[in-house]
Amino acid sequence: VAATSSGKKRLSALLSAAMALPGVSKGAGLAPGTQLVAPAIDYSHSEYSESDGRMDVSTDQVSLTVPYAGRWQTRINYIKDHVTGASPVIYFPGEGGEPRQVLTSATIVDNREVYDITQSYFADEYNASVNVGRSLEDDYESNFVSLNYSRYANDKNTTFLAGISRDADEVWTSTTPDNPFFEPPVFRNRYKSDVTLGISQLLDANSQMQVNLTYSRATGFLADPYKSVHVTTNPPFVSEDDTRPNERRVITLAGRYARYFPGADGALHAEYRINSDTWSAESHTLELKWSQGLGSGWIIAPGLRYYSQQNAFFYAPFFTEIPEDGNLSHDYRLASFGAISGKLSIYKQTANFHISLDLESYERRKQWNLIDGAGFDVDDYSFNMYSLNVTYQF
Amino acid sequence: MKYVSILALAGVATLSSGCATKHVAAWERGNLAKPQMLRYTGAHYAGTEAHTYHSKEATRGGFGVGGGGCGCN
Repeated sequence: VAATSSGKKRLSALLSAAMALPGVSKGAGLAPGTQLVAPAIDYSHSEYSESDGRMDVSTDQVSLTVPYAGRWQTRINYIKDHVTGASPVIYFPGEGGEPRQVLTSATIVDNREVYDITQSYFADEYNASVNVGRSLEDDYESNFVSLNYSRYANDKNTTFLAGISRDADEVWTSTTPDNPFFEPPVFRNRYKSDVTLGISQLLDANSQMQVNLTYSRATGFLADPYKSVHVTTNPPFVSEDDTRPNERRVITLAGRYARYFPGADGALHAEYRINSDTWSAESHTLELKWSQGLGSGWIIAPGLRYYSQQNAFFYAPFFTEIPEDGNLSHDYRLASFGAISGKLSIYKQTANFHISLDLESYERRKQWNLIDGAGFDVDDYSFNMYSLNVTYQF
Repeated sequence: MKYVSILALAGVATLSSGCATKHVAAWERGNLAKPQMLRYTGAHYAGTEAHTYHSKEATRGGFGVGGGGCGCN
């Protein structure tokens, strides 16, 4: 009897996932935003490791989701990151003018903790949620709030989504007072607002699609306080601070398509995202995944992701003079590059447990960018990541 | 101009999503409800993945709002 009851709970949760298609947050299915019929606890552990002894990140996350009174649901969530490693801090011209990269001499150690709570309400014709949280690091604090609303139409064949969010962040440099070069930290602010409109549509009994359009605006101090920029005409040992425009506007169009093939008991997932912004760092992302059922609750899902971006207009590894607008950055994340990821997900579902292991191998190459732009082989690197997620449904 | 092009593309995509569709009754959604149709099978993995890409690439988001910023290296 217990097994039957659990099976019904699981089926109900999955049906909810399929019917409330857009989801309220980033994912779908058992992710935040899915209406549950019984409480659930999620725990995950992730390990991220970059090549050449750069960054390593270890992450633990736990969340508790409790549905009550038929239509209400509360989710509390906690994340802890532990970051170690080194990061590029400055570039100099090397032989033949090629940039020579200098990493941070001391090992970076940082911790990040995130606390957030989501309150959701599920009505017959819509669902709505509010999420409030705080993220704390040794040199960064972010306070955020978001509102999401989904409206069903056409017997839930169509769902309209609207979302809005606001981040208010504070950034400063973290140095130790016994360091002879210690300077008191300067606290600076940055703000970000996002607005999303989306539509999700059942195409037939085996396929569905979703399209989202997002407008984002960030203002304030958007630079990296740890990076120094070499200017060849400066006096010796005089570098410039990383300096960026104090406003960034971004528009993103993202689409998803998923189709189940009954004969193969598998599903194809395709995803495309195009992004344009006032820093000129346009990007394209394409992702494909095949999710194969193996019976007895097992699923194996290999996937492939391609990403390409243009460089920001103020990016260069080093400068011959300070630009007129004063903006200059060598941040490798603002360079032109392409990246390819191979992915694999292994999933097992039992009466009360959902266990998922996600693996990714990511390779970044200057030559793999879609449109030629400013970028250099010295910034090529790779990372491997795995994440183990266990969900227990009561 | 690029913004206009993207908006036009969004309009076309949105309109086309309403075309060529077949009404699906609630009792016909068994295949759509299969776990193979989940974009993410791990409850936290969508957030973990989005945070990783946001830390290493200039682009973020696309399928949701919120989550807060970070001083990522």
